[in-house]
Amino acid sequence: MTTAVMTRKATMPCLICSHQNQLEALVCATCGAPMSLMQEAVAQDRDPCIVTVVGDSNVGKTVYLGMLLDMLSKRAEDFEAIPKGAYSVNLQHTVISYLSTRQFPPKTAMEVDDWHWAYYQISRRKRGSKIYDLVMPDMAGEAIAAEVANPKTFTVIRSLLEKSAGAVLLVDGALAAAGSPQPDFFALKLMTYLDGVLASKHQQRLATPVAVVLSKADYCPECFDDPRTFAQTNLNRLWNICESRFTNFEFFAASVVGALGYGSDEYSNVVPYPLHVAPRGILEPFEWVLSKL
Amino acid sequence: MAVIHCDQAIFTSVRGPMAEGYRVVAASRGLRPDEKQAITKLSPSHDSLCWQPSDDAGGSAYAAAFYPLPTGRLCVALSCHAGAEHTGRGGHRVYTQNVIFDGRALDGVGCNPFHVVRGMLAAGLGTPRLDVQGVVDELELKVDVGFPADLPRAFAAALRLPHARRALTALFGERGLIVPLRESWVEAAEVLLLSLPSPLRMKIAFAAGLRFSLGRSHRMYVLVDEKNAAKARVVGQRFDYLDADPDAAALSASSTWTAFVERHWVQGKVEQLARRTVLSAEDCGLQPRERIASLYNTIDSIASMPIVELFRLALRSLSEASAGSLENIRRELVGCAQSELLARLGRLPWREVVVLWPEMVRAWSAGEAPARFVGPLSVAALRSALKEDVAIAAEAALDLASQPARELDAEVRAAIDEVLR
Repeated sequence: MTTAVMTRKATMPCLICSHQNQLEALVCATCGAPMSLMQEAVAQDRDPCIVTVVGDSNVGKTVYLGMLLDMLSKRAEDFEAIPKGAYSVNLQHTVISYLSTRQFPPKTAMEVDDWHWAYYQISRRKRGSKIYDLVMPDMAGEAIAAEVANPKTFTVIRSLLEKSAGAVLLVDGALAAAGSPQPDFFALKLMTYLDGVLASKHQQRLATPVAVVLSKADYCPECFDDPRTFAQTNLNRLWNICESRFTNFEFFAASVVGALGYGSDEYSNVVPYPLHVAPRGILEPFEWVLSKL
Repeated sequence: MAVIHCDQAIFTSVRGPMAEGYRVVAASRGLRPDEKQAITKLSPSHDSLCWQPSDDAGGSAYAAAFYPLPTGRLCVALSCHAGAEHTGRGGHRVYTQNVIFDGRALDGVGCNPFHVVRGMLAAGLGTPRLDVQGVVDELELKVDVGFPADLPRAFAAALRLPHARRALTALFGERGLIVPLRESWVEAAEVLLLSLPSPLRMKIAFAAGLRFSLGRSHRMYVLVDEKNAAKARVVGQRFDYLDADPDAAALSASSTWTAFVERHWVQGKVEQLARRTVLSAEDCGLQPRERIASLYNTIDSIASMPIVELFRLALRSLSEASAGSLENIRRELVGCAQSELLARLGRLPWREVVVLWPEMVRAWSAGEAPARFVGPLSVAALRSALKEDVAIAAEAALDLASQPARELDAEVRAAIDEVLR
């Protein structure tokens, strides 16, 4: 139990990397994770379940996670989600606020202490349902890419994945549908990294559930019809590694935005504007991961 | 003008054929994998600069960082804005140009990484090159070791004396330091860094003008702390936050070194401070550096010292054994004392010089070094006596002539002969 790990030296271990921090510390001195995660875990008197959302830069992790948390806290699909600490609400607050003004939320910085962390107590509303204490960080895609390319660049990512009960891998479905090999290669690298981090024996396939979410699926509606076939066709390398190394994996399609408008900024960058929000396929991957925990 | 051979690495956010977002987008071939990893980890990303491009009032239009790399080489980083974030998600793109070089190269530029920063700016490296990707050439960076004229003024305007004093005291400790300022982050960081003995400077990884991040693991951050975000994050961490609380600032100069540095700050003598704080590694300990500060304080007070006291101080210093930086400073003290005594003997009447004369004569027999020191002074004193009265001068010359002949150099003998004729 998490209460047992409190020491007598007025220190507290970080939930993510186990580094001993002073009690008054707000963030872990080593990995930058908020110490309130551990304080909440101690208060709950049970170990939380970490579900990590990973993916390349600009794939839509922030929007997906923010929308998911918002839907959960709005009791979608009969879920009940209680945020543990106001900091947990920051991500969904940011995402929904930006989307409501027809903008995408700002890019997530690589600096670990700038990431949003969410700690939610989640369950179905029916009596006797199992309660999950879920910790979900919104990490910068560049940091994930840097860690995958050179392990130990961002040790917090490795620590997180080591402790993860499940993972949601976002892959840019629109880019893959357009023929770019980049999403497939990045996902392949990430799954290989996950394999290295989570595998206890290299002969055994991994049981950790991994939901592969084809994001921005509004660009390629065929994703929704049959995500598996889409992946086999357009993300074949990813499909193969999943099949070879993971026992619990599933493909999903998701989109948050119903329609996009485009403009340009003063530097001639194309700026997409979300004209309206129409979440689709957001909850399914999450439900699937929960069902496998 | 020094020339530093550098590798370079550009860290920014651009869309490339194999990746997008913040990463090392271009580097020279000499950059090693673990150096690239460290630069990736320590470089600023989205929204990490302390100002917005629209803020043109005060402050610098660039941020600077300095840190050692795992290979032992050093990295100096220059960060600026480079237009809007290319994904159109709002905010400004941050562009960081890094130069990587052998630590010994810094010795040639006064152990001051800010000279390298200015060299980078002069070489145009402060202008973002977003079209550059892949491999870039190594650099022969020309570094001018001169200081900007407005550096002392900018430092004084940015950081009040008690706070600067507290910052300096904290830098000698083991903990990290956050110095919140509204502007002039780079200038304040430079003067604070130059206030440390040079070997200690090399150990202070710092960021000036970057938002605080624990992940960067720097020792010193000079930044604007909007909404006290950094202050909140360092609670319970090994960091001192230089609060602007006036009570907390009421700390007197706690050491001779602090007093020595402070005097240079107040007088705006940053260049002199930079030169004087270049020391050898063995002189960085508390006792040697206090001694060094004391010697410099003495050197700077020579002009106001009574003539006899000054003469005795110089003779005492001549007899002291020292090594390394201390020996150089001792020589500087003796040289300054001799120049000052010569100047005074040249203009003082004999009745004021006479109080020193017996001690000067005795110094001739005190050994080779005192004799060498007192030689030119004796000539000046004899000339002063000659101006007063021939008989007095003759008596003084006879005093000298009674010294063993081997001790007197040619100039002194000539002066004696001149008087006696």
